[in-house]
Amino acid sequence: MNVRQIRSQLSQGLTMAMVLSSAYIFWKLLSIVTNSGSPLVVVLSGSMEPAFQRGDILFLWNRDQYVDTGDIVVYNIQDRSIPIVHRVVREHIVYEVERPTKEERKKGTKKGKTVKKQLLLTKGDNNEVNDLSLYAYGQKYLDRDRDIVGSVKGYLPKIGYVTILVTENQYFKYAMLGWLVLSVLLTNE
Amino acid sequence: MSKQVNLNSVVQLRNECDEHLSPVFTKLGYKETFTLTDLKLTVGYLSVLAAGLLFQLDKKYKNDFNNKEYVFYTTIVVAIGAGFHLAFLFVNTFVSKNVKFQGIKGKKKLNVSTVTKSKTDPSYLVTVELNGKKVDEVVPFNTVFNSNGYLEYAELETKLQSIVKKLEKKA
Repeated sequence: MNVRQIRSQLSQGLTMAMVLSSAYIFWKLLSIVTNSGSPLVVVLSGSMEPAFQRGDILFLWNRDQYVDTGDIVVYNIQDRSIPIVHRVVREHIVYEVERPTKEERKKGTKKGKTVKKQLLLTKGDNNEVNDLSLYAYGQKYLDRDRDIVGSVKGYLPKIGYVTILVTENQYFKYAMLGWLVLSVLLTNE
Repeated sequence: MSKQVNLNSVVQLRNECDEHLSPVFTKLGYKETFTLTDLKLTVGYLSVLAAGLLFQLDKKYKNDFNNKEYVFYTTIVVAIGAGFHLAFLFVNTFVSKNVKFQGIKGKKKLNVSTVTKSKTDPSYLVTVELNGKKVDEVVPFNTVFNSNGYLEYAELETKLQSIVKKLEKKA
């Protein structure tokens, strides 16, 4: 293999790598702008019907200091990997004394500081009861800073249904993979 | 050695000709240089590296946007990665668009770009630039390929070398 061929192979590899890396960098850029770990989410359940249907794509924003009652938020629960989209039905502003960590206590560098916190209770529009049963063991409220991924600012109906099909239907997943492989093999460029 | 190509595919015809450009101009004494290709590869792979670094940060800090350290590092790496990506796009679009051969012979600098107008127009548009002087030439594919789909290398060589020789006389 001569130098020209090596460069040609590297260029071909780069084309594929650039597609993936540019998408990832753009995703992270969006995360920074919105201050959210997941700026786009797909609705997976019908718990927010009729506002949102399964497969809707939601655009999140996480730069507001507080969330209002009535806002639709996406939140994470400890030890659960799937985020939940529900509406805020109750909010409390509380003052808590922030406990210093073990190391900080040993060093004596930081003493307890009073911080203002917003606690939230959520509920799905299509659910009979609030989300207390969904929260982690012993958790009664969501912490605005720790648990909220973002509040919903816009949506695209049904477009995310492909994600649901890929995760829930294995035939669809294999068909998609086959189509991708075929398109790569049959492209002459 | 040329391979058989589909005569109905303009893309395949163009690719086959592009692959044989290097020996044509090397024969005229032009030593092939890869400055632009290397620049593209370097900038491109640096951008990919930045994306890899972002992935590592994501794993290390568990994508926690409440962690100020994570947000700080991510912002810096995203800025660097996006910068490299834009630079790659710039080089690809404005500097090395369609450039298939670059060579030097003494003080002479040769740049050869090739393109096809569309997937249905079987014409090979060759732009040869020698020390800033440019010549555009259209080579119909049916004059350099035989009916079996093999490249007539000698024909292609004659046509391309005549363009360069014309330019060399002018220079």
